[in-house]
Amino acid sequence: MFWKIRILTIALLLGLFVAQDASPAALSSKTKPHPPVQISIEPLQSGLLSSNIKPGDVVEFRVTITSMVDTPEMQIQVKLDDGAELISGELSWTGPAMKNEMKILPITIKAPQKGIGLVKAQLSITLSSGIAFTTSSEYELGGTKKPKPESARPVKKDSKGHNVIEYR
Amino acid sequence: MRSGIFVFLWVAILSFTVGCGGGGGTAYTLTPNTPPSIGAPASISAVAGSGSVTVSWSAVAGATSYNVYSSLSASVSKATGIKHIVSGTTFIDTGLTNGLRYYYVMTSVRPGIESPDSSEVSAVPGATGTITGKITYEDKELSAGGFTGSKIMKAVRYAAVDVVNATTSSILYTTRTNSLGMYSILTSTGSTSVYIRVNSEALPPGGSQPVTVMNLFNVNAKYGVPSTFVTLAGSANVNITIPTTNIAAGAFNILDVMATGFDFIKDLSGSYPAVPLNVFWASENPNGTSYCYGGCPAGDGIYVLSQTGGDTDEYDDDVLWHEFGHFVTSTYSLDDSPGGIHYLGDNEQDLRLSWSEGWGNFFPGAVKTWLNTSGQNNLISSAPGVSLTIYVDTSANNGFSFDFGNPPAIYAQYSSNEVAVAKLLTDMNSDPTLTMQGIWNVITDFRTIPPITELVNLELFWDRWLSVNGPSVALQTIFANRSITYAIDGYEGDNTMLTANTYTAGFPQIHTLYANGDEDFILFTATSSTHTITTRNLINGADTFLSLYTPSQALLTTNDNAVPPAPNPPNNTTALASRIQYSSFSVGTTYYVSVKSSTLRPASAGKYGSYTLVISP
Repeated sequence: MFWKIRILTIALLLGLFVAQDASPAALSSKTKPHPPVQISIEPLQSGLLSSNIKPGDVVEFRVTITSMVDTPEMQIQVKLDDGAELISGELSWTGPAMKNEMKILPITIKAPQKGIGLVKAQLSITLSSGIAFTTSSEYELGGTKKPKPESARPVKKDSKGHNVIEYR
Repeated sequence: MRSGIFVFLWVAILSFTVGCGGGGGTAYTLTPNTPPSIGAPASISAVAGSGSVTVSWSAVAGATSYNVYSSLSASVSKATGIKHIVSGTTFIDTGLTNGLRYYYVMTSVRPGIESPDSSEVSAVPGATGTITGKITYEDKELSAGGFTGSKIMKAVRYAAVDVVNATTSSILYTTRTNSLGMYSILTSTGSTSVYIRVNSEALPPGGSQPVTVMNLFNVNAKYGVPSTFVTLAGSANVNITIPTTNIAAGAFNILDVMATGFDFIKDLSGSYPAVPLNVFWASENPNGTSYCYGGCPAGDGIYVLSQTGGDTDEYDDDVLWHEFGHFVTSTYSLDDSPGGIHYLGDNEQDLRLSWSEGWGNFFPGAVKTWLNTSGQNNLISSAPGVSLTIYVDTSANNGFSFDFGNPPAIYAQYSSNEVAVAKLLTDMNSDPTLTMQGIWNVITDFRTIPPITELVNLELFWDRWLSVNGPSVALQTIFANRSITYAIDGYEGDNTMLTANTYTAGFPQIHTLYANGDEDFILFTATSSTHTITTRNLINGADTFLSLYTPSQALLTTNDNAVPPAPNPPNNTTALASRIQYSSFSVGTTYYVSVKSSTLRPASAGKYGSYTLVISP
């Protein structure tokens, strides 16, 4: 029994190392293009989960924006919906940005007394010819709506004996 | 990372097997003392035809043949029925009387052993009928702002259609839809309850390999959408409509996009792909979207992301065609791209990446342009008036659109920029002297014999274009519009010290490293004992190598990189620049400088490109 556990443990560790070594191989996959702007919204307090935010809580957030290209004008607009209330901080910013330059907007928000509030940030790179790229991010105060997992369905066969899952 | 998890699980499973069977390291052999046996056939069906009954069953492991026993009386057995010896798993009983019920059981046989009787099936031979129908799915209309909210009904084309026994789930007949989503199957009539099922596998007429959309969370399982139950009692019309509320509609949109891709390839190459294409998708799949080959979690193919409330790609035709474009280069051309995350507008990309992704970005617009010009606009999901070159990636929180046919200039220049590559291919596609067919002929020429040894990037495309088609002013102009100059500069021929150009202090010289092996010689007169010679503003993948020679043409010193670069550095203006600082110049004396492409250039860089030479005290 001891040997079985030891072999399994070694194999699991080996598996872990193989998994880590194998991760660069995933880089060879050809991914879809991304807009050259990234944005994230997260509470300043590390480890604070959305689901732990209660109605009326005052929470400090950090809206982080990174431009992946040089841009003469970048616009950030933060919107509060569903009763979320701004306590302090700026909800917009406009200015140039260099490639890989990061901007941080600190904001303090009070969660609504009822329901789930929403912090939504939209980021655009704007040129004289119009908006070139836009991306956005959302953060729900008090939990996220999780999609229902697909229920299990029986597996059937097609004419070649291959598996088919039927969706009525 | 997914492949890593996959390996991890396999190792864990392997170890568990060793743990269970290994014990103390001694192997044991179990000797059975029970008589050998064989199981009876299962999954049996009997389908009536006119004067015949077709009996089918699943193969039994170890069986060398089967005995079918028939009778006009129920409860037939091997003791009472007429024996028919069959080597396969289908028996057609012919010469029967229409209107009478025939009963069947069967046994599996291997030498010296016959299984017990199977369960009994029966059928009444009768006249034949035809089941016809149309299969459609609901697609989502797209505009530059994402989904418009309008729905489009589209045909499920070339898809596998099964007639399934509603009781046993066995397949009675199978066919495929045509380009209009129509199908027609000749059946026998009788009392069998069946349903029609369309599967997420498409094989166009004349094609040899299918495109299949598989459930990523149930690998090897296709998506199937069944009809209501019908009875095989004469001719029937059975349509299937797959609304977007049915999860499988996403799979059938993916299938349709890929089928269009297959048609496009047929138009360009004369035949359908000779390799199968698998697409792995599942609702709530958090990974992707990408084209993956070699060591992929579920096998080679396209992986499609789908996260409700986040990013879903099953209705994003442009995203799907982008990845199909990678399948195309992998199948018909060559692709050296390291892959990974890439950002539109990045001017400093690895040339292999910018070529590969530029092609992928160009491909959706090329497909839609072809659909438009070939009168197949009904297959385009864009709202009326939306430019064919607009790429749309919808998402609940970070979607975007981008017009690769009309990009902002600052985000569409240089060979190290995927937008620039997409734009120039788009322009070539619309130029009647260049055309999509011309592009196709060149990218497929990458697979020339003997195999090319150069890296696959825009430079290779340019070189092979010249090889296949010869020079083109239109092509040169299209490249120049993207600030890509594959042409000799105004200082040529400065390829020897004898023909070197004179450097005038305060007037930097802009040179192009072209054609292959180009070396630029510059003559300058020292104005102080110390001078710094640098290459700057490197663009289009240039990697310079700098040499300094005495007036008598003896080599004084060289420099490849002013700063040791990281492996495959970005193609920015400085990472691969060269710099010589020499402090023993004789004032008033003339020296030679040469610049050429570094023979030690990284794979991310190119053999061509431009640089600015600056000599300062």
